Amino acid sequence: MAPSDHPVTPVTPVPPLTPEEAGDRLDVADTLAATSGTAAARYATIPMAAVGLLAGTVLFACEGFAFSPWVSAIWVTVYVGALGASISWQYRRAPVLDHRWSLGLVAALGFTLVLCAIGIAWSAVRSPSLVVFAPYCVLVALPMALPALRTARR
Amino acid sequence: MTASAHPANHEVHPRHRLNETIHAPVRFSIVAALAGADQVEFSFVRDTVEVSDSVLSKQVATLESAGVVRVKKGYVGKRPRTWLSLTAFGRRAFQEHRAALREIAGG
Repeated sequence: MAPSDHPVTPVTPVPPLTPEEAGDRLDVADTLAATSGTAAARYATIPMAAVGLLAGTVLFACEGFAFSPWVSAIWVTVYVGALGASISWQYRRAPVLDHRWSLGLVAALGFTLVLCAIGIAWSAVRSPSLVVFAPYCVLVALPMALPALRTARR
Repeated sequence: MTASAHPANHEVHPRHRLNETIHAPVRFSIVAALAGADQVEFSFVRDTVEVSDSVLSKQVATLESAGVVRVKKGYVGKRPRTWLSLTAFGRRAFQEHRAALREIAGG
């Protein structure tokens, strides 16, 4: 039976609580909140890692084609599509969702975007060789991929 | 009436700030599990709180009617899914409930 079809359980007055009982309740609350919080973080690892890995891959791919506008547009479309697919997977499959990103994750995303912008500018001004540019693209992927890996191991 | 006898001058014991709807052990556990995330699937809450489908349904109905929990139903493929989340009121009520518990625990 679905929750809203159920009869409502009568609410009884709050019985007196000892400080120990109150402390136990708080411990229970912390444990349960941590359980769902950790699960939510774990299910967020795929979209999280995808942001970094795809950003690095697309940057490398665009440089590989000398930032030809058409090829770049295709790669950016692939990037947005793949990112959308991973987020959609999270929404459909994950039993726990949390949209509240930690400050560290927001900083990691910001860092990724800054590295991407530097990479585009570097490539446009100097046209570096792929041997030099490839490690830079790996560096672009790291700020998001590393927290994802750390979360997955939790 | 003396100043100390005036009701406004008495500190209200934190137990009076405990939320009756949230306080029952199973409902408290459900709300605590929901507080850790934005949206949690019914079966995940059931397994985390360790109750049966029926018990969880009843308690969620009570929380829903009190405006603490929001219930959303949908499908993943052909399988029905029920999502539970705390309302803004529910999240605030739980924070106040926890604050009252903390005061009681502190003596």
